[in-house]
Amino acid sequence: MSNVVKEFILDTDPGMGINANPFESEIYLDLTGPMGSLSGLYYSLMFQLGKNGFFVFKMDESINVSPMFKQYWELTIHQKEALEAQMKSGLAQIATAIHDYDLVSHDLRKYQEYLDYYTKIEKGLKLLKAKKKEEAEEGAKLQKEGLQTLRSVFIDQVDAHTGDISIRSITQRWPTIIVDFMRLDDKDTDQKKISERYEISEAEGAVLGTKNKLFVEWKDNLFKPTLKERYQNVLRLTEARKTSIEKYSEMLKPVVARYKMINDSLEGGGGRAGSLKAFFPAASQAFSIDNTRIWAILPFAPAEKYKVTRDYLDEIPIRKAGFTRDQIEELVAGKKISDRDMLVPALPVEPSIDEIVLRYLPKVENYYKVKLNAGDIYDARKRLTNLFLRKALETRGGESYSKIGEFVAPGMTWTYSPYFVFLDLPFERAVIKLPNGTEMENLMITNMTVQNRTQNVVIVTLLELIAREKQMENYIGQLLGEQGLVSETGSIPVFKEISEVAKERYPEIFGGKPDEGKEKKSDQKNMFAEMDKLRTKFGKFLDNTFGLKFDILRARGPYEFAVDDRLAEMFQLETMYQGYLFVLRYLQRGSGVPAIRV
Amino acid sequence: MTYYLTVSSGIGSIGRDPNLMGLGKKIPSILTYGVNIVQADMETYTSAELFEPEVEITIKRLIDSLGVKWVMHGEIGQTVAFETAQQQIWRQAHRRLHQYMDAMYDKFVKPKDMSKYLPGYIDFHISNMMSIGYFAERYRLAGTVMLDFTGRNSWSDLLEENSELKEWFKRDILLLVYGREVPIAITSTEDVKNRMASQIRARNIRNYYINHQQEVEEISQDLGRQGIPPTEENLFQEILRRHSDLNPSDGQISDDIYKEWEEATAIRFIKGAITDEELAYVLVAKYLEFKKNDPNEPLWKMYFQDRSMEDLEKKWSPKKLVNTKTGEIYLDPEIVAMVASRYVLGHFEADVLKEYTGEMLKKNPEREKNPFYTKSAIEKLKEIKVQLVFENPEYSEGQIEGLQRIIRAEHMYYFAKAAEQTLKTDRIKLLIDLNHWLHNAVDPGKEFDHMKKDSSDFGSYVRAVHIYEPLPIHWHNPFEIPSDQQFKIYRWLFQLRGLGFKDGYLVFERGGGQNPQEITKTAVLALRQIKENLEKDIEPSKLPLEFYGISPEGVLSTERQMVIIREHARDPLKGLIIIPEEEHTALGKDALAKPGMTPEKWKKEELR
Repeated sequence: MSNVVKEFILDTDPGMGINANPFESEIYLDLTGPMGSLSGLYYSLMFQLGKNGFFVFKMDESINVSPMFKQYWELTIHQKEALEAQMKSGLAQIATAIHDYDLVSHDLRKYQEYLDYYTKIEKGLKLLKAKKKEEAEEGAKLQKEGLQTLRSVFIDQVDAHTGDISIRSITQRWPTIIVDFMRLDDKDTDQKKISERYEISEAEGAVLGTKNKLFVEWKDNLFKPTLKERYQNVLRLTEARKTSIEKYSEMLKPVVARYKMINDSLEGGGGRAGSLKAFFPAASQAFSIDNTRIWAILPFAPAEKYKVTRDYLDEIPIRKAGFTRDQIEELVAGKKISDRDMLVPALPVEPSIDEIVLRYLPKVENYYKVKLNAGDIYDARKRLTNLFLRKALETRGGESYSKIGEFVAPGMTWTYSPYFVFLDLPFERAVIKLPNGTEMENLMITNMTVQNRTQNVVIVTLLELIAREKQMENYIGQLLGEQGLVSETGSIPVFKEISEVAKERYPEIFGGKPDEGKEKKSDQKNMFAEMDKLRTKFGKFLDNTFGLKFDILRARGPYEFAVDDRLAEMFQLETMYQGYLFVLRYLQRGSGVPAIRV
Repeated sequence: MTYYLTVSSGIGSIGRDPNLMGLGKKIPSILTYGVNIVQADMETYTSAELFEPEVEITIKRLIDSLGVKWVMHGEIGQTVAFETAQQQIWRQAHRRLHQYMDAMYDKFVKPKDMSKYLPGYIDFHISNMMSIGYFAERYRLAGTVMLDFTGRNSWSDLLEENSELKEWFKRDILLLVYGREVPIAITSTEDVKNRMASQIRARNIRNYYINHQQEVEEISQDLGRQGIPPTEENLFQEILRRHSDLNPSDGQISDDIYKEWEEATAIRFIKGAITDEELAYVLVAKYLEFKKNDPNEPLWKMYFQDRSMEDLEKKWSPKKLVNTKTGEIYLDPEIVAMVASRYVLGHFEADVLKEYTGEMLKKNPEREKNPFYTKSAIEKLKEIKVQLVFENPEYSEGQIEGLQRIIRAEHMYYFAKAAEQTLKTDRIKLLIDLNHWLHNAVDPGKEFDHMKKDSSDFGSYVRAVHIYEPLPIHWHNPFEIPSDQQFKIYRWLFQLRGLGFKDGYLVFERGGGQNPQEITKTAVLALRQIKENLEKDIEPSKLPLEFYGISPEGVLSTERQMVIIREHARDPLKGLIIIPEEEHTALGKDALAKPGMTPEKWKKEELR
């Protein structure tokens, strides 16, 4: 059973999708065997499903190991603790690297600030030679800005150390001396000329002349060479520190991922309750229980329809795939697609991003506490298109895996069909080590269900997978400080990269787009959709009032709506045969049940 | 020909500084100031420091062992107000003058080989009294006896010695004096004259009657024949008709008024007393006019050359020295300065006060055998051979700045020249306090310009200059090197040098309360430059950079500053992490390692 799509769909929205499991397709299995026998069976099944064409993926896992089971405990829960320590140390390392980077950046900014003053002077001098009056004026202004700032720095931070004879102290004698000093040219060193030029006393002129000589010496021969030399050094250090942060983060990601993947079932309330109720004593019995939930999907072709496989998918405009204009804008901005090439491979049913996908999107977000965007929808769809192309690699003339995208792997070619077998396999494996040294394992599936799903529901399923991946990435990103919480939409936290967070919070400063209160209008609801709804209502009226099943009236959308004639008699057969029966028999045969053939 | 840099000790009572209590402590007080001459400042309103037992031994020891020299600033204020006619103050000032002379004699002249320890000069303010003439001075001291410039109570003496003066006195101001000094009801000068004429007439007729009884009998019979009763009154009238010569002459009338003034004042104060200082100044002014051709009284000539009082009165018109009709007295500032100068000089000529002699004999009976103590001040001065200098005064009270009786350069010059001429000594010279002029609204530069025109040897009468921050308030503040004040002072001193001040003392005068470093770090360094350049006769416009402290050894030494600039050149980069600049510089790092050197202290000391 899916975590999100629990409805039948067919009954409420005939033709819009199917999420149906045959009544017989649910079973509880509980197998016990010698140590390793059932694990082998499990892995064998997983590989076999792949060989059969299923796209198999894990949706959840957790483990509970009693400390008595020392060897296993060391390898699992203790390992998690070790990872935790490694993470803490790694995070501290990143924090230190960021701190170092900040410090070096601070230095860099300071050096840049001073170099900017010198730059102004140099630019100003060049412009002063210009023939155009405006340019010359601009040059004078620039030179003045640079010089006066450096003169201020000299007064406050360098000359101030000359004590009683510093310019700042001498203001008691000449209240205007700072202003007079700021007016000087570099060439003003003779007290008499200064006195005449600036109409001040000769005594003040003498002080200014001396101070100006010292200033020029400081500016040109002491401070500037130091700045030049140190700027290059600091620049180098800044780059190195920046790279360290990135590298430390990358180095830590696998550690965090490993840590996150070891889910101690006791972390959850359900796990703790289960352990309390378990018949074996946690304090004295060496055991481990691990839960793994596997989902698998495989398209099938109902009789008479969709009999083909495809080496190539048709390409359709992305709008026809069901993306709205806003979503497309978002995809272009996120560089998922190019604004020059708006084509995407066509799935068996288009628009693939339909009302059902959009209806379940918030539910996925809510269940996984992850905000999904247009890029995620695009990715879910793309994964599906890639799955349809998995046999097509060679025929595409050597196009690389990476170019086509992930989830393209050699395997059985998928039937080009919008109907899928969906397997939900929640395994629970228990390993028990008895006091006499005997070890045994038990494998349960609680419960296996198999469903018939349409393409849109499968896209939702893939969205769940993406949400789960995102959960992990968000966790890592947040832990490493790469992502920040932007807001909470209902109970769903929205994470973005730190630079994006800054843009969102201070768009004017960081160059983001200010929120102008624009309401994003969905253009997916068109006139035809409204007409479909009217027709559906009429069909429902006939059914409810007169008991007349005019599904043709109620149905809308591209999917099968004939429950009795086609779904029950044709579709569910495929589901049962390719999904349910195959897994059941495979496990029975692997467990040694006699006379079982797969 | 050199200048001596000197710093004053300050007055102990200002800052309650125990290190400045007594000359023995004041003299070594400047040892850390960067000079070796001290101006020991006497406390105000007491001469006791002069008489401190064995202080001369301390002074000798200090001079011998430390190589310091000293000059002295005498008391200031009314106790040394030599320019007044007011008896009480005059006598106090006279006592002080002799106290100073006697103390110098007792401590440095009488003992063998002590004269070299005499102070380089003793400084008195040339004028210490409230103004006169401009405001209602007469009401402040009126009613107390005024003395002539030689300290005599009776003005009759001066008048009798100077017949012209007496004639003028009787003719022009006697009635005014009479009216002020004789306590009878008077309605007008004519009333006085009529009353006096009537008395004289009656006396004449009575005498005639006694001496001519036969004629008087005949006149009585004649009256009887005419039917007129021969009463005393009718007889008087008939005698007077027949003998008009029995009517008194104007001379007889004034003689009688004069006599009555003398007699009346003898009853009330002393014979010939005047109790109004304005009148005393008038009399002395007129005396000096009459004596203008006497080489012993050169002041009138110096002030007014051959002009007469009448000439001056034309200039003052409608004012007159004495307006006999209105009784108004006009004392022009020139007259005030001239008379005040005469009073100051008079103290040197006047006899020592008998009361003072008695006072001192009681303390020092051995003095009776020594004629020195009965000599006049000038005689004593010549024997002691100490230099006296008279200084332009500070303002004595608010709101009358610049109105001291003697304050202008010209007046001081006349005083010094007159002293030289009449007292036959070069022991009386001048001291110029630039700030005293400034806060009395007198521009030193203009004063010197003015002197250059008519008295170009003014500077040769100046022995010392008091120097501190030139401010228009009375504040003994140090000045900086370099500063406009330093330049301003140099300019004025250069002017003074041009007037003949080629050698003498350049004294930084502190009031007290400042710590030594406040003085030495700035003012003394500035003064050294002033002295050096003055001695080289360098014009203000050609002063070298060294003057402003810009030389390798100067306070603004470019080289020394460059060391600091280099040490702190990278301070703007302070606070950076990669190559942090040291807060207290490389030098400071070592300095801070020294015991007791705190960062704050180092910051202050870094450039010292």
